[in-house]
Amino acid sequence: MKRTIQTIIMLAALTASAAAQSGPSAAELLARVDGNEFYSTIVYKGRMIIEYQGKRFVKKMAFWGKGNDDTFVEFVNPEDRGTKYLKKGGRLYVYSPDSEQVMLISGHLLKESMMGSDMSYEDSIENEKLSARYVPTLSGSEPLNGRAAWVLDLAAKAKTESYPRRRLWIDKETGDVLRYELYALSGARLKEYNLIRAETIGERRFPVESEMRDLLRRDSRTVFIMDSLELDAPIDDSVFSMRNLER
Amino acid sequence: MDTERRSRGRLSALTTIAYRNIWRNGRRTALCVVAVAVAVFFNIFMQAWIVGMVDGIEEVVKTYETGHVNVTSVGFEAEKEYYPVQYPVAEDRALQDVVAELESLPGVVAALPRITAYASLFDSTVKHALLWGVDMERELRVNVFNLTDRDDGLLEGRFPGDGNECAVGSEFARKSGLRVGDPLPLKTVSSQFSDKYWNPRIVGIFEFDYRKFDEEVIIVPIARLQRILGLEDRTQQLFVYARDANDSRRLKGLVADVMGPGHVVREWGDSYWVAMMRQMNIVYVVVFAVFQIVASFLIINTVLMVIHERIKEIGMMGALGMTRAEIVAVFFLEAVFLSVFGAAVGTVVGGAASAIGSMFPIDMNAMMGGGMKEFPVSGTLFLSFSPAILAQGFVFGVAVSAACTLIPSLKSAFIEPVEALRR
Amino acid sequence: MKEGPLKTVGTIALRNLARHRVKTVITTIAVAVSVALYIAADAWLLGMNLDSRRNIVSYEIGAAKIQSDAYFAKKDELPMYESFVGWEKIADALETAGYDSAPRFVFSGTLYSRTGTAPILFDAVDPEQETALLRYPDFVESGRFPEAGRAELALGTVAADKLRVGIPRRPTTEEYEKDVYGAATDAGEAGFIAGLYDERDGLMALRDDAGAAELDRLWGILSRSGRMDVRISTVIDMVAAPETVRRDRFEEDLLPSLDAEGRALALGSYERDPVLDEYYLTTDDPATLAALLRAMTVADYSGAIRHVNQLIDATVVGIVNSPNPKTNGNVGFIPLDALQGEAGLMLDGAVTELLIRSSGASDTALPGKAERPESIRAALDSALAASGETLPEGLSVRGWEAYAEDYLAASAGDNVSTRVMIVFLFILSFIGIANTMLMAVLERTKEIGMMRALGMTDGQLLLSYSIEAGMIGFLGSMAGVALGCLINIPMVEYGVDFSSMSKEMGGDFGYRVAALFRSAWNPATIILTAAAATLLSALMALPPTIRALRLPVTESLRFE
Repeated sequence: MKRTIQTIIMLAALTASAAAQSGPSAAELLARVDGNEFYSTIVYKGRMIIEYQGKRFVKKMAFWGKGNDDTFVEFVNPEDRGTKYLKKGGRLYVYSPDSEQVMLISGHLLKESMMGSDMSYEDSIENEKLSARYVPTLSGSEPLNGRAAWVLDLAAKAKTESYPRRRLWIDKETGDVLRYELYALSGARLKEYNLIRAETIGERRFPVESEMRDLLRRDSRTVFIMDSLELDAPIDDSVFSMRNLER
Repeated sequence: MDTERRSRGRLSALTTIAYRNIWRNGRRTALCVVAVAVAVFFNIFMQAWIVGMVDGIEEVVKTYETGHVNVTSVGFEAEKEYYPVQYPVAEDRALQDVVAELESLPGVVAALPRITAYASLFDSTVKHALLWGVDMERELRVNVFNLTDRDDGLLEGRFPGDGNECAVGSEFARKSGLRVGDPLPLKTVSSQFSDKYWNPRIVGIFEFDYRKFDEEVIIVPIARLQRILGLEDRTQQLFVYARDANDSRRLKGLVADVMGPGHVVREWGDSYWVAMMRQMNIVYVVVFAVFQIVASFLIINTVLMVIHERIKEIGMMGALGMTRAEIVAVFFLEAVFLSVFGAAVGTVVGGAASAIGSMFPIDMNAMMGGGMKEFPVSGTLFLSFSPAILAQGFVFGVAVSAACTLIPSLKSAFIEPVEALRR
Repeated sequence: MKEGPLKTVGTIALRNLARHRVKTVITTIAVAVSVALYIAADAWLLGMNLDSRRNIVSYEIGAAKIQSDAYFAKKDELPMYESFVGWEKIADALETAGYDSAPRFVFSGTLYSRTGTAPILFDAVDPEQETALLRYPDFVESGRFPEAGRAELALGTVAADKLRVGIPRRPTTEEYEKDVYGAATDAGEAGFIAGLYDERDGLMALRDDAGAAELDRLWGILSRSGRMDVRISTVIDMVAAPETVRRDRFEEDLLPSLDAEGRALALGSYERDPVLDEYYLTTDDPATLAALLRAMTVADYSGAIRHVNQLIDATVVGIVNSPNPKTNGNVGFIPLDALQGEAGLMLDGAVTELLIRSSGASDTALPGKAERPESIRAALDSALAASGETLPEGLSVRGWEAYAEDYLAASAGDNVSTRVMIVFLFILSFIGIANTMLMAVLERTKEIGMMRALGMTDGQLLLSYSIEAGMIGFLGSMAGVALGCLINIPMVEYGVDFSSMSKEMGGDFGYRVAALFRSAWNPATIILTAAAATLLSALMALPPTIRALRLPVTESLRFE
């Protein structure tokens, strides 16, 4: 029942956005954001630069993704070399040279933070679209770092959402998410994301360099850079296999 | 010169009289001796108990908590309850150079790197544990880990070698149902905040008889842990062991000089528990004194009775020309003999008991209902057998008893010989 | 007739006592010291035990708690989703039945202050009911207890020190300069602050005689400087049957972890979406959803427990330093009603527990008969029945002992060594009495012979000597009781202050007594000890007398 209503609302939103000319509707903007991240496959080499407590750590990885379900990550920086994650069928497996065997991350371990980042494993498994989880409201427009941007407020549909509120700044011209903020239930800001650089790949804009700050951790930020990004190139299914994990 | 020799002769005569007197009533002497002996025994036994307990705590502190001199970094110290691994010691120097320099200090036997880190366990009823990275080979040259059997504490198997291996505590193994040969999948966080997965095989189960370790610790080779935690050849802590543990206060300064700024250097005596136990000693001395005094009542009693019994004799002694001082001396010496005998018996029995107790430990867990987890003490207690305690108990017993009898002995001086003879 | 010889025997005994007055006195003292020490030591141990228990009752738990059974089963994990609603009705019923109650919602989180962070256990409480039921709100060392409806926090003193909030008692010179003195906004305040602190042993120290008004003023100044502003970071655990579950997760994770009943429920509540290849929730019947949720949480299905991030701004308004270290450690108290909505924990009236104590129960007493869980349950049931209600399924009343099990077990095996010591002391005293009596009997061997010759029976003689020894024991006991009580009076009244030691240990001493160790009166021990000492002393006379009586009268008379 609920589900049908949801579908109807989404459909309505889509048709509405197509009709509107003057400015995009909130739902349209959000659909665009979701659409941008919708790819059939993704391959990149990435760097994660963690700055915390006056120290700087660089983690390098190679990433393969297919749809939103299957991903394969292999860390290549010396310290983490050989650590591989495989997300397949909603399950998360890990292999590390020290474990010498594939391990399934489950139970209480899912609640722990992933690679010292701001994401828990649980967060990384669930990847429904924002539009399925939040109700958007367009709350105006303002310039951000010299770019004109729409400000989009998202309120969670279910009260069980990790971040009950989000606020997005969307570039009016390019549609890039320039910045987003994650809020706690009380409305207090917890995390902050800033786009550093986006590139046009094929027909879509893709964020290739960004920064994340956990506002509760003093002097902490994580910069994420994609070095060689390829979208929608065919990937062999064998990449997302146990064999590849153990290789 | 002549008077001196004379007085010496008199003293020995008095001593002889006093000595003979104690055998005049064997049963009474026996009871007296028993009373002093019980008190002295008790003192020695309790002292052996307390010293044993203090030693036990010091032993735990020295073996597991601080070594003789402990080196950590300031950063580690600020968050030590989380066992952070991102603050190694001597970050800008090669660890082996630092170790070599520390070990070249006079009196230093070994400088051992150790790393403690939290681990999350996979699919286990026990969800978290402590990884304890040590160089077992070098550790065993300096430390005995099982505090009861004074050995390496291995119940089964062996300590991990260079391979993908670990050893776990007996309680830990029991609670999580693990056995030798089982893999132990776990996750830990490296010094660079990376999640590190590891699946060492259990090759040994140990019982150190230090509850905290038996329950929570997974022993792994430090070299492997260093690599996994991304510490390369650095370490989180250094445990410096000296030839003589009491030398650590001096060494602390030297070690601090070697380490330079940015480090926290502590010696085992700085441990809160050790300091507290030392303070408690004062309380025990008071308790011992009360004991000895209660026991001395018996001797006082005896001396009084003896004086009363021998009033006639005292009169006779006086009539024969003994001075009052000499009469007092006879009674006093008699009391001293009783004290000495009693103390000697007490010392022998107490010594035997503490010697036995120093070989066969007492199970504290059974006595305390296992409620000692937060306390850095082993589950069993060895009494301390030491000549110093025996000597102390003996001297204390004799001194208190003798002092107590001085007053009743003086009473003999106030007996008028003529009066006494008439009784 | 019969009274005659008995009286004689008694008189002989008393006279004999007087014969060696000094000896009697000394032996008496020995007994007295033992008795006194035993009484004092026992009072001390009892005091610690009782205080610990009373502390648990009057500072932590009350006499009993109502919690859901599911919460109790996992209570170490603080499963906040196992809370319950409708506690008000239960509280009303309890009130009619003569019980006070206080609702609580317990959760854990991290507290951020200007200078640091600390993991804190939070008790969300109803300030009024909490104050009526538990005693720690009376021990707010500085500031005040939070008021209902505001995001105010009272912190344990250990946490406050670590996070540098509240009024620091012993700040470092640096902290003082920067955070305390530096908080002054004008010369008047600066002078006022400087007058409150002086330097001691390299640290600054708050003057001990600082009055309440002065502390309040200082609190105000420090509070304006932002020192009391904190943020509570926590994760709200919520259970919700997921709207959608991916097919493989549903089939491979969820279904196998459920029991047959749960599986049927899950298959009945979810439908497979053929296009998206996932299962979606089809039911919105609350009862079915609740049952489904229960099955999922029991199976520990991680998809059913959701974590919602929450950050709550709060102001610290008071520092708790009570005799119970549990309230002084890493603990925070916050009004329950401030957490109801989205600015809080979305409680919607839910609590994790309801604390119960008899109305007007004495703080000095442990919970009595009427406060046993069964009694409370019975009273509650009948009070609820009167208004046509029942206690909801899954809720139970559990006595405080059920929550203090670990502590009680540990303390049961305790105290052994102290008692062993005292027993040794007793042995010594009795050897003393034995010695005295041995001597007495020995030197009166002749006398004994004479008395027997004069027609005294052995029984009478035994009795006479026993009375003599018993008298020594009795006099000693009396003196010991007097002395022991004298020691006890200040120990019960004032106790010994261990506050600095307790703090060193992070506020958690094995015994749950924070600063003050106090003895407690134990009349039973006092009477029993005195009686035992008297009786044992009397028995001490028997062996030497029996021995003397074995000697033929003629031999005794000849004895020298």
